[in-house]
Amino acid sequence: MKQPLVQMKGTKEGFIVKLDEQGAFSDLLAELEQLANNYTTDRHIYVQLHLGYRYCTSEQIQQLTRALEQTNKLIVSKVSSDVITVEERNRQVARHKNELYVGMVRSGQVLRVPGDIVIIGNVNQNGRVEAEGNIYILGRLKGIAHAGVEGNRKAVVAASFFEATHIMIADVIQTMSNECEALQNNNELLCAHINQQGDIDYRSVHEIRNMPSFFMTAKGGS
Amino acid sequence: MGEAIVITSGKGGVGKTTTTANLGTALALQGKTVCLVDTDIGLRNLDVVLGLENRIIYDLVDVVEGRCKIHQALVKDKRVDDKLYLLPAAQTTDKTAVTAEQMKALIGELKTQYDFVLIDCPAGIEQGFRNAVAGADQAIVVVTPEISAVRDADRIIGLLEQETQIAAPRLVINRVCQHLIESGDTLDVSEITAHLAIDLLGIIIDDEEVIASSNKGEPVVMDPSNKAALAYRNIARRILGESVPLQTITENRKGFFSKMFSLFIK
Repeated sequence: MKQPLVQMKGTKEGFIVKLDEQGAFSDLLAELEQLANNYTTDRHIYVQLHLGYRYCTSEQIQQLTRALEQTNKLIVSKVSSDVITVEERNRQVARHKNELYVGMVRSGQVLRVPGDIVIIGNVNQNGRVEAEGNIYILGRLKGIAHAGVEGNRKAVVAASFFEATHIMIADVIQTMSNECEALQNNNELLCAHINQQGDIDYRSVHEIRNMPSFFMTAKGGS
Repeated sequence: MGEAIVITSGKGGVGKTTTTANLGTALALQGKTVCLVDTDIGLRNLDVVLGLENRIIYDLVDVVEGRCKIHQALVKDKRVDDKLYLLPAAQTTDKTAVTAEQMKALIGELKTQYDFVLIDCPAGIEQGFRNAVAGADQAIVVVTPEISAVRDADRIIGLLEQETQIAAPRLVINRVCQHLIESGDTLDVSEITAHLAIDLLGIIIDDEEVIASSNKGEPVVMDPSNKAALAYRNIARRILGESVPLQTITENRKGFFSKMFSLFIK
């Protein structure tokens, strides 16, 4: 008898539907539909879809999920795959890269990077730095800094001197940052982050390493 | 082969044209051949400040469009013998009459004939600015001790740093007012240089004589006893590579008690 292309297993994490990597896509869909039709219980069963080394576009993944969910008995809770495209990989690499910029960011200039950025020099008024990750400035921040532009609320902005007009982290904006109370006594070696209330707050740069976002990118030290 | 220096500021009214006229004259007085190019097409002033308005026959647009040769359009300044020439801007058209490539070719040709080509840049960051910087090898940024002028200068320096053929821009602080600095009501020189982070070429003290002599059509730099004139001459010497110390800004006005005190110190 032919080896089935779709296998369903029960594991500690729940039911897993494992797909064969070699078979034709149309055969897979047919087998998934058959599988779905075999379950006639009253309860919903949550399953995880494992694609293995087969590359599926998001459209194909939708087709697979629809095939499984057509009877409304099986619900796909998660789709996992062991392969990604080169393009996606490059994006991920860029996101985890630290970029170094030596020089001033002057009025009207916009510096945008996919990962973290370290700036050696000042960011002047109306100069703007945008990073999908964190921003570190070895100098005076007098302009605008936007960390986590793609929505990373754990991103931070750190600077030797905080005199910024605007600080933004993900979707949170603080205007008149240079007049805010937290900076009146001390504006040296601070880092801006989003606190638990969802507002922008400041603390000493020495505390950055204890912040959750930092476990991902921190290197060295112990 | 000469050097082309663009004099720019971003903000209007800080003294680009006055600085161009005076630096050009000062360089000519040092024995260099100088050509001043006014790129403020439609709002030309450099000819008026130099008192050469009534001698213009052809202008920059005529040269670019081939209606005349370069030497026909150049106006000679008789005060400095055979050293100083002006290429005036057109007044009847606007900045779009010339492209950056045409300016580059024009400045390139002038550089072969003169030691220095000083380009007077219009205010703003549009076509006029792009034309003015297209052919330049060096840049001088003029700023006054006002927050608005400093902001605009910051923007201009950012734009100049993106032009790869131009060397790092240098700063001239114009209209430095003695009593305002003494009372602390204005930005001081060190604050401006720290903010803009570029080399300081010189400071020029605010002097009524600068405006008065411009109105007469004679650059102030011709009068060697004037403090502002001396500052312009010093800047010219620094451009030529000499190292000249900065002028002191604060006046030495000692009161009666400090005079007495200094007697005891001796």
